[in-house]
Amino acid sequence: MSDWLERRRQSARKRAEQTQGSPAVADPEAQAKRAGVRDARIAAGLEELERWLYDLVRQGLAQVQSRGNIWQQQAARLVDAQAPGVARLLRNLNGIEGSGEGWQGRLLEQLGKIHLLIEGYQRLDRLPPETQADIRAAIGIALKEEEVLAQPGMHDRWLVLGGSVEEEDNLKTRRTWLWGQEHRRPALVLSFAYGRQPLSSGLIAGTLLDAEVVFYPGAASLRALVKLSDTPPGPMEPTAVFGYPDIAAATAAYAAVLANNPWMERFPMALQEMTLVCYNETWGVRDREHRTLTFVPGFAHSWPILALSGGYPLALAGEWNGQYLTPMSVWAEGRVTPLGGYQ
Amino acid sequence: MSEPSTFWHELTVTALVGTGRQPLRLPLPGDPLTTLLAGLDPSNQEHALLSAAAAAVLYRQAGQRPLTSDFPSFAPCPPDHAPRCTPRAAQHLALMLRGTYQEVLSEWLAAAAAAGQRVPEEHLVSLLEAGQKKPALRDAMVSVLGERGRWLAAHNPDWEYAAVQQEVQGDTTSEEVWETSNAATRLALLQRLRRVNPARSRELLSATWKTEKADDRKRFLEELAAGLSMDDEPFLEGVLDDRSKEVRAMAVNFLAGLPDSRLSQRMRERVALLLQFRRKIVKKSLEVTLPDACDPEMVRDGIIPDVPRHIKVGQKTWWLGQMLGLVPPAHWYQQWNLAPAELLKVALKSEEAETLLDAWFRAAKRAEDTAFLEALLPVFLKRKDSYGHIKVLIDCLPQEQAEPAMIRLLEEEAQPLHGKHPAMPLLTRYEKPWGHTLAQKVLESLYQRITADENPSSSTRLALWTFRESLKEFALRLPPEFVSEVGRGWPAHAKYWDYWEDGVKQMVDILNFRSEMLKEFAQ
Repeated sequence: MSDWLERRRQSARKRAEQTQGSPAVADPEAQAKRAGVRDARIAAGLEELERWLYDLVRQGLAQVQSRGNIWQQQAARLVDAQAPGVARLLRNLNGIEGSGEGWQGRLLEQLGKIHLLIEGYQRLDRLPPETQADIRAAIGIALKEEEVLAQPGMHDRWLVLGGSVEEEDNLKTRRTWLWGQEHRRPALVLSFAYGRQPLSSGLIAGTLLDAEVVFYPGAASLRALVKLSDTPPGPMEPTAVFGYPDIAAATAAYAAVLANNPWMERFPMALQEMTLVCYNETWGVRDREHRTLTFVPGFAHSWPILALSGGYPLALAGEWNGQYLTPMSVWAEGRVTPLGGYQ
Repeated sequence: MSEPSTFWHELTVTALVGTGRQPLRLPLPGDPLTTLLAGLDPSNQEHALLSAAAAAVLYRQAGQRPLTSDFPSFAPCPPDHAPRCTPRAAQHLALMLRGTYQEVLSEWLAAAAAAGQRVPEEHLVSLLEAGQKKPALRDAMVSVLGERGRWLAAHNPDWEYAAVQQEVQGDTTSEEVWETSNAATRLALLQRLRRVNPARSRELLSATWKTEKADDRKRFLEELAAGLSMDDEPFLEGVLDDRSKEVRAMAVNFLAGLPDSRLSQRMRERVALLLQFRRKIVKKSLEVTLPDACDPEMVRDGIIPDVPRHIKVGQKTWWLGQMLGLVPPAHWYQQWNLAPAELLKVALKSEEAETLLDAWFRAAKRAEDTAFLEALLPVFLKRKDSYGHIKVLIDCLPQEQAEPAMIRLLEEEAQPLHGKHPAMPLLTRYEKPWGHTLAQKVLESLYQRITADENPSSSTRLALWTFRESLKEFALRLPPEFVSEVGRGWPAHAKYWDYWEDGVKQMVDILNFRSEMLKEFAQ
């Protein structure tokens, strides 16, 4: 999913640098030719990366600890090969070797997934179209918003769960998670701003949006665009129940999406009736069955959540990465409180 | 999951040392995962290893069951009866906690406390963190934190200062806190107890007094200033024999502030014959006799025998000054049936005028004798180099007496305000809200200063700059009703308006903010 960030990072940068938008001349033949050149470049880049990975595994991951940031150079090559999504995955490997006990396992997990992506691309033709779309998205091959918006949408009352804002290389990316009240499924809306451009998606945590949402193609797509809606967003009814009743239901939903798209990195979880717990400075939430999800280490807003909870159960929404939960908003005291930089 | 996790372990070991050194062993088919892995082509070891890793990791991630845990939860907080402040008031608070207009924060806290409101839950953490950095805010925070804030603070050692308020309720816990906590918590406990149960605070203090360090004894003793009474006298009389000179001096100061204390009585007896008031038909005079000696009893009562090097008086005069400084002036003017101003008039004619003036200044300040302090003000205002005294007087005097003194200074000086104006040290030190007349005078003076067209880069640069910088502080004291008046009519045509514009704008902004902020508590 976040490979889109990479693509958008580049296109936002381009937009910001060019005083006038580049004239989009529709020339199908030239377009097809450009796509062919790009696909060849990606194939070559991935093949080179595969060879490099094999060398790494043959010589052993132990060498990583003494060689410093070996990923940066590979990442740069993949940017040149027009595979920015893979480049980002490689950059994310930086520092794992210094992350303490079990680092080799964590590194191997990520390398396995990158390898799976290379494999997938190499036999793209033989895969179902949804999986193809997921792979292309993971690699960072851009789709035009107009193309996506031309697809049929899903009408629902979408609850804005909250989100996060990240900044890298002067590009701000805002992730906003929505929850469809009727379809009971999440959607992710990304917005971007380069430099000092204002960042806004007009989506305010805790509001309800009566709108049509178009999902990007994929097997279990989360990323979506909101089609223009005539109805202005309204407040959520205080009694509305949303998300998952307990942790087992939330992790089952996560597993279902992961089974369809192994490269999914974040999954939204809106959880009801959660009790905040803390042990040895590890914070988390627990449901009535005592199942527990722990917050990502270094999560900075556990104390505000405690303040809002007063020790009573609350509803909260967070991003789940398969290991840790990063809370993004809290429903307590009859209102929504977004956490961190999201407004 | 034992088999896949054993396999995963083997896989990472192989990956760590390299397939070049340790060949990969694929598992035998069994469960769905191992069946899949057993089908990998072992002839391309690296390919097989990475593929197995991807499959194993996805198998685990998709199949994981969330752990059940017995992590402790938090005991629920008792309900809050005080209402939350308005959302707009909360926005103002959040703005200040993020650093904008932070100098106005204590006024917000006071206004919220006066309105009986509390801080909404989402801002409690930032507020507690602010109190952690700035102890001066803590007193004002106590009531606006509400039950929720104190409950929250009790869970974080950094916020102990706010949580301690809760623990003080029961006496057994207070004893435990007193004996086992760090110095800051003990101090907070003492402060709180001193207000609600002074006898208990004295009990705790005297129980451990002998074992405390001198610095702690000093800090704890300071707390007796709040609500000092004769009940404290026996304890303080004992402290006169303390090991530390500073601690002894504090006890002397407190005891002198209690007219019925044994120390006060002894001191009055000592000086009884040293001042004699003579009233002839028209002439009144004061006859001063110097003491002969400084005996050990006097030293115990705080009299320092040797004259410090920087003070140029005779030894006996030095003793006299110290003793008179421990006897309130009212002792004399009531005895002789004089008005404070009359006593001062006679005293100023005496040979020891300086000693008397200085001693009575200190004694009147301690006794909070505003009638006498007010009488002292014109005396000091007439003298050169007595800003130190005037500042103290301004702080001690109630607004009706302090402000006219500052207004007089503003009127007497021909020059409008600048950094070296005689009124400046008082205005910047006077931290109470200003009355309308004083505020009006200061603003007029500022206007005159701007239109005086004095080049800010001239030799008076520093004086002008100091004044301009003080405007921010003045904005905190101006009456909020002045907001519309202050917001307009500045002399934009003045030659050096550029120099003043930002300072004036800042002042206007702060006043605007205060006015908006206070409106939220007005209902």
